Amino acid sequence: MIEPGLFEPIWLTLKLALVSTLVLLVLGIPFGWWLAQRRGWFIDTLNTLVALPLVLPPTVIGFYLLLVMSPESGLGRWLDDTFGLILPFSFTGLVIGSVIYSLPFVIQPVRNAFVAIGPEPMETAATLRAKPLDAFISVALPLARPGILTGAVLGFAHTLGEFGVVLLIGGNIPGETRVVSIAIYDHVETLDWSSAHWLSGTMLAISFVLLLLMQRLQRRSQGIL
Amino acid sequence: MSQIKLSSRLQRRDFRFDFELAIPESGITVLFGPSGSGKTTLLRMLAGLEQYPDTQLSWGEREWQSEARFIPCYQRDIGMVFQTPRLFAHLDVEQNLRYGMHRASTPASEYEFTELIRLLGLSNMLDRNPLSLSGGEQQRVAIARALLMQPSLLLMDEPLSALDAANKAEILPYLERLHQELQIPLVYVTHDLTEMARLGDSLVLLDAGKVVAAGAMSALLTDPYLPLANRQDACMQFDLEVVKSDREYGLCELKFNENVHLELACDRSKPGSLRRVLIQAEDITLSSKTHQSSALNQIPVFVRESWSVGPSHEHVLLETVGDQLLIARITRKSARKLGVEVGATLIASIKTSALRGSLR
Repeated sequence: MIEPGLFEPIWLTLKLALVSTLVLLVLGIPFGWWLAQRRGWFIDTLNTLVALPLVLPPTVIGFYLLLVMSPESGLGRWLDDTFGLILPFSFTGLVIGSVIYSLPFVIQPVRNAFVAIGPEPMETAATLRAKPLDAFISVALPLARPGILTGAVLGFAHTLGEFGVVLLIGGNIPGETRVVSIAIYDHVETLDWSSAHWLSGTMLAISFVLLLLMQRLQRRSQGIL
Repeated sequence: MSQIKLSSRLQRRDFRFDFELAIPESGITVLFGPSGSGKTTLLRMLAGLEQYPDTQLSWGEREWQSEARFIPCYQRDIGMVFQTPRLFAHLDVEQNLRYGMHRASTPASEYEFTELIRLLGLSNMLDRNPLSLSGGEQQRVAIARALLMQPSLLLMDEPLSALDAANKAEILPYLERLHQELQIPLVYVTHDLTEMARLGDSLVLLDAGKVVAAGAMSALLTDPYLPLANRQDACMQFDLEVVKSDREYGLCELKFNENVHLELACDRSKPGSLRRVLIQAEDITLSSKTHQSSALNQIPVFVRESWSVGPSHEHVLLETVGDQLLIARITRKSARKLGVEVGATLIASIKTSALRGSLR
């Protein structure tokens, strides 16, 4: 027996993952490139910061985000005063949380791909009269494509599995912050096993197909690089 | 005519550049020196790949680098071929070739594109992935890619050093032909003496960031005060005029000087055309007078100087009546037997099969 609105959390989760992945790519490609070009203590510190979400319990991230976003804090009050934006328990807040939570899964493959290319293709492009931005778009990006695709799929998949961060900064507002992991938790709490089955099974299938696709993509790109 | 003027006082932690250099505006200039002498760095200065401090570079109207200004690589009218082909793996061969053409200010026309592709034997591989080509084929694509931009200056950084002997032998004749047709200067880095003597018109000899000598290739090769004259593979370079070709024996006769003609194997040489001939110091035999031997080429010479090279050999600097210089590498024992001393008159014989002439 499927209740109406049962799959709403799945759509919300997919939307959250998609928006977060796009934001991560827009930020992560230039940032990953920038990190790949440099060395030193400062860069090592940045790389460590980027890697932190890999090891931290998601609730720790959620806790700090809640503190920073809350209207009680300086930043939160400023956002509220200036833009009328209240981040906790909103979709926008969730996107920000997801971006931080999935940051290493996108930045690391993208940066590694740029490092693997090395400086030579960009130099060669310069001797062929390509200006830096032109060379980046026509040479560095296509050569890093497998790494960028991996980052996108990993970032998307990792956001799907988000629970702790959402629980703390998103709460459980249907259609706004009630993502699938929260919904399943709810269903189990209320002993609604049937709904929990449907949602869990669907997520299992989506995740499996996604990772399978990534395997195929990597196999194909091995022929190119 | 204006020369390319480059000077640098670059100071790096373990390396120092200190030179002033003028590169001729025509022909092939070879940068030669041991590894670590700064050849590649010098080429990168010319290309503008890095902004080296305390460096000035100008070429007539063009001021590429000075205290106040630095024109980056992508704004310089140059073509560059690296040690490895550096083709773009995400593009096919034709897209690689057209990458620079699309961006150059005066690229080759479609007609010239087709001609060059045919000349370099690339016609049937345009739609291939560059990584599926052999090393020699890839480097031919890289050379074509640089030429198709029709740059004002060509730079080549040991373009043959990463290739095996067979691939090298396949590209070198093409570079020699390029030399004939090229209207622009080419600066060529190599550490292979024979390659240098076959291609180069001018030579810049580098050692530890300093210019040891610069000038005409043929003159520097026989300069007894330069390290080149002491090498086992010491050689001489002459551009000689074809007098006649002997179809019956497949030989042609070149005018060495007023009195001496050299004979060497060559096919279809037009009288009046020039051939570049390399003579290896090892291939010269000295004797006291002319005699009947299988060596067709016998040149009367007198000894200007001789010096020991290693425990068993001597190099003898010889002068012909036409003021040409030759270096002969002989054992000390035979020098003693023959009585090699300054002013002695001798005959230098060169076996025909040891001579090779290339188009000039």
